[in-house]
Formats: sequence, structure tokens, C-alpha cells
Amino acid sequence: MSILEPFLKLSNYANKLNEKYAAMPIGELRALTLAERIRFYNWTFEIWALALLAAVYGAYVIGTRLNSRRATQLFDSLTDGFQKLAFAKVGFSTKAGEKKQYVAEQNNTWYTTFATGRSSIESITARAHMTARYNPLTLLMERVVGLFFPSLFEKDLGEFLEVSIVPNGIYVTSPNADLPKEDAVTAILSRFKFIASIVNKSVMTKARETNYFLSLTHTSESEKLPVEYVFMSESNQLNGFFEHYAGPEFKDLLAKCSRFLSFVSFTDLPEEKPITDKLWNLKQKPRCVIHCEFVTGTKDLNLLNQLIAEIVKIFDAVTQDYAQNPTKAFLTNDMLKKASNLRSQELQKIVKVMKQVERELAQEKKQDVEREKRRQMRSKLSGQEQDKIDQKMREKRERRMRNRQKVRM
Amino acid sequence: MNPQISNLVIMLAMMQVSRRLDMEDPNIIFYVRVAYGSSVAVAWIIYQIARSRILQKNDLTTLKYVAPANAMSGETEGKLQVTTVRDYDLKELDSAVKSIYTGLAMMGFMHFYMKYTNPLLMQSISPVKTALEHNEVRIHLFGKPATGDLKRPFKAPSMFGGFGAPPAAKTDKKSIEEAERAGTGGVKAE
Repeated sequence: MSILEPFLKLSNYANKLNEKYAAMPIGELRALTLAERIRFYNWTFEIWALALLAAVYGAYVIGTRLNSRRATQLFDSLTDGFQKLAFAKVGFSTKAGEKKQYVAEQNNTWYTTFATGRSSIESITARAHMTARYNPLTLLMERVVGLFFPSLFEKDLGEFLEVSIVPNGIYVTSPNADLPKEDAVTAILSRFKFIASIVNKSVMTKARETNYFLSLTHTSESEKLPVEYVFMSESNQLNGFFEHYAGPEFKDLLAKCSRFLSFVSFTDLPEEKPITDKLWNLKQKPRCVIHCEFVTGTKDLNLLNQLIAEIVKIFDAVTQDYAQNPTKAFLTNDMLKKASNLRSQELQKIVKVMKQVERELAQEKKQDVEREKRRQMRSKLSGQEQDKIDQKMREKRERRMRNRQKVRM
Repeated sequence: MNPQISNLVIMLAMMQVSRRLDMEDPNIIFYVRVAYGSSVAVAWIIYQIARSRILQKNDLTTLKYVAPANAMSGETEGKLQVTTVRDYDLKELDSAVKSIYTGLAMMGFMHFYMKYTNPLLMQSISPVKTALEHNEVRIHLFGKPATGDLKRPFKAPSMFGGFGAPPAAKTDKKSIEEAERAGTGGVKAE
């Protein structure tokens, strides 16, 4: 029994549908009018093919609209939240001057929005990914393949929302107040170089695998957190950062968000592991990352906005502390020194690996050059001279082998 | 007795039984199918009951261990796993249920496509036996304490005792702390 038998059967069935039409002599066929030919021909196969095409197109339209509707609901809510937080600019403007709340890319699967212009906060970027609902066959195939071959399935690209809040180190008491000096701003921003996170217990391993900054932290449970979460911070002292600035009410908010929230992390290190010292320096950016599932529903969207507002409040409070009363700040010099040491160690590790790779590459290059040199030398020599060199090389190899055997014995 | 050895004994016994049966007889084929189907269904139900107990308990205690390196995927160092008791148990059960589906697909191919009936008979006891011997079932259905052999993370079973067993997960404080600060995350596949 052939493995292709079902396909053969299908092909035979399709051919049989128009057996009569195909068997009709060309003369009789010519005698028929166009309408008679259309009536005589069995259109079953074509109808099914068209129905299939229509289904694919229908799925595309429905899937795309579904994604757009969900995105509009999410970004409408986020835009309202950003406006309440007094951001000067929310969303994007096109060249034509049209205002857009968000940008959709890659067939309505990636969405982005942006807000900027506020004391303490440089910007907020919200990036969301949704599955390709317009292609249900691929989705089904991915699920089946993922069930039996998990390593072939790209888990990172599920549905998620990532909100990145970047501080600017500028604290002003009123809209008309003078901006602080650049040195003071840089000094404040340098104090955000630490990792303190709260991670949902259901995604601990995955979060550490996909985020470089989390893979450098120590995991610890605490009574200060709802049972669904753990702390992942550089040092246990940093765990108190959240309670100090957000108060005990933050615990209640986290408990309410446990259905969709994956993690909240204050960090300066990148998500992707840097492989060179240049990348290490380039990709350091103090920020707070809120990673969660794609949020829908008014209740959850309100909770998400509350969470973003809390993080913004934390940045306000920390920046205010550093600007007005640095002694009151939670982060002591000792904590920041420890964090700085960890960064130096990590940089050393990266430089070590980089140098090793460079050495290996240089060695490979050197071998290639030598090989090329030998090849060129050989091509210049006559046949007899080439034989002599081959003989010499053979003797050399044999001598080496004998010496090695002697050493072993 | 070691479960894998007892599986082997059962397999040999069933082989002898299958030799005495007329596998061409449609009645016998029907009963063999019913026996295999019921065995798989019972195993599946056992796992589902265990799953519902795990969800009911909802034990969110954190579990940290360094899983041994997977040589097949080119790993040289063990990977830190940070999970909860509930998620660990569910993962173990999921892999057991998945193995039921894989077995069903294999048996379906062998029986319906290759027209062999012997494997169905030989496999008509082991799904239930495997389910009843599963660590999660022993903990959640039979109420055995999660200590000794049943301490999480479970050791991979070996047919010859300790010899030839795959490397066990590390749970000592030093290994975990080292793995926690290794900074191995965020490596994007090319």
C-alpha cells in the first residue's frame, strides 16, 4: 500500500468527474454551443476549489478585522491612560498631519504606540503582538507541530503586550519651572542602574530564558508579594524597592493583575544578551518593563492602566528623591556599588568570550593563509620537486607518529 | 520489582498469549481492539483525575533545580528551571498524556495501516500499569508523601538501578546559585 494512495484516490475521483466530457470526440464537442458545453461540463471540482479560495479569503478578512478590533480596544484604553498621566504627546502623526493612536505592522500582527513629554519620564512605548488569525491553517499546523516537536515551535511569539517606561531624570515642580542642569540629570539617571523585578510564578523559567537581565537575578519568595509572584532582583535588598515607593497597596494591585501580568522589571540591561563590549555599552538603558499577556476587557484594561500609573508614580518619587533629597532615597550607594560590580563582572565575561572567538578566527585565518601559500608554492614547482616535497612531508608525518607512539609507551 | 523489568515480563507473557490466539478471527480482533481502547481510556482518565487534584491543590511553592544538559540539542551546561510545584506536576502529567497520544498514533499506524494486531494485545495492559505507577498519580491519587523517590524533581527511571541512569537534576544550593547568576538568558536563535 502506497503512502500516496489517498492522493491518488482523490486525483482519480477528480478525473472521473469529467470522464464523459474528456471522452467526447472532438467533432461532437465542436458541435456543442458554449452554453451546452457549460451545462455538459461537471463543475464540482471547480466549485470546491472556488469555495476553498473564498474560505481562505474570508478567514483572512475576519482574522485581520479581529486583530484590528482587539488592538483598537487596547490602544484606546492605553491612550486614555497616557493622557490622564499628563503626557504632552500620545501616539503618532503621519506626514499628512493625520493623528494615529498606534501603528500596525506585518499584516496586523505587530502594534506599537508611544507617549512622550512629561516630568520624570522620557517616553512610554507599548508594543503588542498578536497571532496571525488571518491564517488559521498555519496556526493549526503550528499547534500540532508544537505538540509533538516543542523545539520547532517558536514560543516567544505568542500574544503579548510589552510596555517600556524610560525615565529622563528630570523632576520639575510646575510646568513653568526651570529644567535642571545636564550633570544633575545624568547623575540621577546613573542611579537607575539596577535590576529589581516582580515575576509571575507561571512564567519564571520562560522569563529568565527570554530576558538577559532576568537571568542575572536571584529568585526569592516573599510575604510582601501575593502568592502568585516572586522577586527576581540582583540582591535581596532591592526587593524592598517596590514597597518603599509604591506602598502596601501595590500588593493588592498585583494580585488583581495576576491573570495577565507576566513581570514588572526595573532594569538597565538589555533583553537580548550582548555579545560584544560595544553592544554592552550601547544597549544599556534604564527603564521599567511591564510584560503581560494581550489584555482585553474593560476591567483588565483598567487594571493595566493603574499598573502603568503606579510605575510612573515610582519613577516620579525616585526622581524627586534624587533631585530634592538624595539621603531619603531607597537605593543606597552600597546597593548601587554591588550592582556596578555585577556589571563589571558580566562585561569581563563578555570580553573574555569575545577575545576567545577573535583568537579562534585569527588562527583559522592564519591557517588559510598558510594553506594558500603552500598551494601557490607547489604550483610553481616542477613534477619531480613536488614529489620530493610530498616524500619529505610523508616522512615528517611518519616520524611524528612514531614519536607519539614512543611517548605513549 | 523495577517497573521497566515488570513491563518486559508482561510483554513476554502477552507475546505468549498472542501466539495462542487466532489473530485473523474478526471476533478476536474486535475484543483485542476493545481491550486496548479501554486500557488507553482508563489510563487517560487516571491522568485527568490526577490533573484535577493538582489544579485543586494549586501548590504555588517555588521549585528550583538545574536540569541536566541536553546533549541532543548541543547543550553543554545544565539549565536552571524555576517553576512551581503545580506547574512541575502539570508538566509531568502532560508529558505522560502526550506519550499516550504518541502510543495511540503508533498503534493506529501499525494496526490499521500495517494490519498487525499483536502489538495491540501486547500494549493492552501497559498504559494502565504505567499510569498507576506514575509519580504524580502516586502522590495525588494514592496520597504518598513527596519524599524519597517521589521528591521533586523526579529522577529518571533506569532499568539497571543506578547504572546507566541519565544524569539527575541538581538541587544543591551552590549549583542553583551559580546557574541563577550565569546570565544565559536572552540568547536569540539565529
